[in-house]
Amino acid sequence: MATSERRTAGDADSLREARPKKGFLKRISPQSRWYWARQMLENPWAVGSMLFILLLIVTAIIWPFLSDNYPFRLNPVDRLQEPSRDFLMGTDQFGRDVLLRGVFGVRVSLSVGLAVMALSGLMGAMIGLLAGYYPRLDTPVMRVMDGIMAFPPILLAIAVMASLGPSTGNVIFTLGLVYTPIVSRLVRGSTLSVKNQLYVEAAQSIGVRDFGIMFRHIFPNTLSPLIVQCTFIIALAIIAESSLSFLGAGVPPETPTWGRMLRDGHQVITRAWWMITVPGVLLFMTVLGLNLIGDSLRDAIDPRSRQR
Amino acid sequence: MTQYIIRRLLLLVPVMLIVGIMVFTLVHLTPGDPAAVILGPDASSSEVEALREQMGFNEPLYVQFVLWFGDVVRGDLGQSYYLGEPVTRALLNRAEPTILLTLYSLTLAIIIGVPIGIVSAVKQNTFIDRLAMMFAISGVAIPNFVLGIFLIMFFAVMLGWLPSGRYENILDDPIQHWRHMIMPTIALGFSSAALLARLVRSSMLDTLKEDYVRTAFAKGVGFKTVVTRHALRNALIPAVTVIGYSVGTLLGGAVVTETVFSLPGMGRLVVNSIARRDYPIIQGAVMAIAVGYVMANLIVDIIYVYIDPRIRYGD
Repeated sequence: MATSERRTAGDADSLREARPKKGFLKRISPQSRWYWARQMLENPWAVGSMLFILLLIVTAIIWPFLSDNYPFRLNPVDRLQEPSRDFLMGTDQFGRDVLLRGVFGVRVSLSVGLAVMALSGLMGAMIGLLAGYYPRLDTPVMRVMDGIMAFPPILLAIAVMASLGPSTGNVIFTLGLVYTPIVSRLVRGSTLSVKNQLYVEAAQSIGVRDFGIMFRHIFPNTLSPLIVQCTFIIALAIIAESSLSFLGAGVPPETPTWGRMLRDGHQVITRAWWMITVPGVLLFMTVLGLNLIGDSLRDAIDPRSRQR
Repeated sequence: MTQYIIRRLLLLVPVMLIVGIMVFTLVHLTPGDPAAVILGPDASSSEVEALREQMGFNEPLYVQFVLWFGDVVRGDLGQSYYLGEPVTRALLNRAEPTILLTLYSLTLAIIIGVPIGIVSAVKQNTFIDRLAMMFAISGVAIPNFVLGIFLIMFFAVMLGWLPSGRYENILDDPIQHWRHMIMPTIALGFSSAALLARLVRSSMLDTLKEDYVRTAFAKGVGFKTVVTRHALRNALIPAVTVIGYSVGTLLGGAVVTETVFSLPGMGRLVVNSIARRDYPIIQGAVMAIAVGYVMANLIVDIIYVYIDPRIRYGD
């Protein structure tokens, strides 16, 4: 099995070498520790996705400097205008530029996504490491994680948000809580499989303390599946945040966010197709992009998955 | 087998206890005094105090938990602040659309996802495979409520083919009922179908490489027979796990989908209750749906034993 894998990987490489390539990427050899980056940059879907998300972020940052149009400015005269030269994708019930608000929506979505990833990644990694390393902690801690996972994620998020009230911080806290068990299960699994390796035993025998072993010797070996999972958590969190905002239980109403825009658009669906098209397409493209980046990262880190 | 089911049912007790503790904690995350919320802003402080005493809010927390959990076990989820009826009855009255929508979507996901997965594994790296995987990748990326809104825009507003925004009882008028449920079912089931297609494909690809499949081919067994009888049966085992997991996603997604299509289900009740600050309804519904999800996973685990004779739990 192992030899055949190596052969397919080798064949793919030799095919790739045969094609003329820009020099820089080609200089990264399969032995290099940056080989995964080369593989990702050679994947057109991943590169396209990264460029798209980057473009969104840059537009959201520089647009306010270029235009006097402002996403929060109410302008009742221009209510529900169709797309025109003044408003490329029309206006909403309050006369606000839909395209501009849509581009601004990436701020909330991506920052919530990244913050949720950081929070659940951190908590999940800690819990997973501790539960995997100390057998005594394993059962009680993982039962609590099972308890959280017994709720459909979005429903648990709705319930917590209903109790805490709408705010961006609460969305991040809630979704971080909801996705922690996914990360902790993953890290616990890798910890259990790494824990009995010889180098861990060696570290124990020369008297390295438990925390040193966990963070210096075990944690780095759980990283690669964790990083891949984190990309998907950003995507999941963006969907969850927009669902919560769509239901009116997410970020406060005045913040421009895709879920909120879809909620507003849903109410005038018979009259203003542009109001749902802009946030819907942007949301779809962003999540799609993050998933494609996650997939290519997984293929680059774990060659086994590439054959699929 | 009976032993296994009994053991699994006993394992439900700690899980339900943890679920109960979490829902109970949610009650106490709620800002403000629940007694004040029930009585409204005009109530005097002595009235609030009397209600607190009457509802047991002055007892220690663990006593409150034991009393509350005892009621939940007996099916009493408390009284809705807003509707003025027991939460259990309110939820039961609205269970039909939610349960049917979840079942329809699950069926759709299986009917579409499994064949697509099989075909694209058998025709790996062909045009059909690429097309199927494009469907799968975009299906996972489109949130159910966005798909629902776009379906309404195209098929209800622009083309006028399908009705939206109402619900027909299945017993009163089955045809109208299904016409109303087509779009919600697609909106909710699409991403599960995509996920299932991806999973069936990759697990089919793994089994097609197994020795017993090669042996079957070598024996001269026909292609169709090898795929359906040798490979598919084994490839479906991981798919069953994902189906169990999908039930949770679908139940949760139903909450959002019902709001998009104005279906009078449990989910819409939950969403309406957020603005009304009707916490007993929210907590009751979360409890009920979590129980349903845990039960669905139990059923999936039992089906597992039937389809995979290698698994003999603890016998």
